[in-house]
Amino acid sequence: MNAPHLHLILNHVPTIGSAIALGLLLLGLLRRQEALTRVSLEVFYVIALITLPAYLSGVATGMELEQMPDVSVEAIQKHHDGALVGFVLMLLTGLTSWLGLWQWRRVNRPSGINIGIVLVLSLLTLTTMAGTATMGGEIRHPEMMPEGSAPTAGPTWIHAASIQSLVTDNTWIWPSLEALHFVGLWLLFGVVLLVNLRMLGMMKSVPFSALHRLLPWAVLGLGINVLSGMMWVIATPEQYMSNVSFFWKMGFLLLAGLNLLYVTAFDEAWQVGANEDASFGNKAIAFGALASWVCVMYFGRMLPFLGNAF
Amino acid sequence: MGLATTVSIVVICVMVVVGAIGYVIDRHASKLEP
Amino acid sequence: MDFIIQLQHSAVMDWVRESGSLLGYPAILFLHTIGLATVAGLNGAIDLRLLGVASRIPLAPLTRFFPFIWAAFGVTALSGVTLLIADAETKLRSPVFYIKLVFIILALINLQLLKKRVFADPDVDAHPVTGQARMLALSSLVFWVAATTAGRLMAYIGPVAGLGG
Repeated sequence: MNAPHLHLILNHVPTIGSAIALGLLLLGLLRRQEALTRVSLEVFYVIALITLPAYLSGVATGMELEQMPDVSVEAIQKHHDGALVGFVLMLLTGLTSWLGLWQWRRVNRPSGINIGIVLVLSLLTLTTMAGTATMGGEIRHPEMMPEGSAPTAGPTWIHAASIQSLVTDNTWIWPSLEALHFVGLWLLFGVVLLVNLRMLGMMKSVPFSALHRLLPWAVLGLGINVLSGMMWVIATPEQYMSNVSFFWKMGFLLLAGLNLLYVTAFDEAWQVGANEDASFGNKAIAFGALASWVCVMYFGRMLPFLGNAF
Repeated sequence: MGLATTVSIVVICVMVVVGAIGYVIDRHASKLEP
Repeated sequence: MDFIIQLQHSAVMDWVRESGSLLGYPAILFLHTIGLATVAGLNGAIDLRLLGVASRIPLAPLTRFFPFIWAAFGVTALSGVTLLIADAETKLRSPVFYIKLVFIILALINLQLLKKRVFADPDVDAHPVTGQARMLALSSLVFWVAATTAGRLMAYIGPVAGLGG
């Protein structure tokens, strides 16, 4: 399996997946079934997670395709720009869904405002993804464009190439991103440690629900790191796309991201009360979570050594 | 402005914004929870 | 200082720096990262709690983490000293390096003050967090953010060696 193959598989997720998630959300609201609505938020979150490798595999594919004859570089760049907008919107949808799930867990009822925002964001995401998908098709499928029709217009206000120039022309940006990335990582890891060490038996007098309140700070740290990471990938994709360490880092990041959903929303985690020992299953999951985040840091640290970055 | 000054200002600004967002979320949670 | 520079050229340090083994320089860097993530992360989370976040977490049990933080600092310090010796000639002449050390020392003194002035009180959860405790929590966060920033800037400002990462 190579990058183009992976991309062709994964690109179904932010497109068809978003449509299904939106359908679930609408169905849940229409039928007034809270469980369904809640699940749709979880689905949006997982789709946002998978959109990360979908986007990255796209970047790698673009780099390969640009080398081939008879392929329009302009068509690839347009598709990339659309994908970037869609990716950001998808991340925002996933983030809002996560926040909604976090609050829902804590107060046992949904937030109308939150669901409203998820609806709006998911519609924007879906529209952007549809346009992006069409632009993707136009790269290698002239048969889908009828005689005399114009190619789909790309976004005019954001270009991956401009972000790339911005970072490479302004030399203070890269080091700033590094400093922020490291602050983000300890902000995230501190909360991750507290939450998972509680599952493993430390501070047993404290109920899990009290520590659960810290999770937004972990997400804020993660947010800083996702954004700074994206800036680096857009600025110098070649440093990451053939870097085996980056591939593993993203893999473990997805695992850790799934764990974040578990500790945020699932009953099994939430119900660990004061002075209660977590189940063996929870302990195993907590250990796995810590291992995942440590691996994210390991493969991040190894980028210049295992791969070809820098 | 030197690199150190620029980077420091950027980091301070971003962390203040991040802190504010986190704080607002926590205050909101306090209001919702008994 | 000369002694440190002599160590820089010892057989062990030559291996760490030049062997290309993942168990050398890269592993030391990794340990340093995990260590700092643990120290600053746990200290930072405690600071956030003192500043009023997640107030249902009782303060007293958090003292369980102090030995953990100090153990992690041990890892960070040991790996840090190794990284320093491996590149002593450059790092000892870098002002940013000394600035980083100052912020770390300030953060650690701050942590000890928190332990002695706030967490030593057996009734720490019986009353609201004092103004002094909140000030110490804020300064702690500032010191760790500053130390982190100085640490990263070492690769860009002052004499910089060819060592990657």
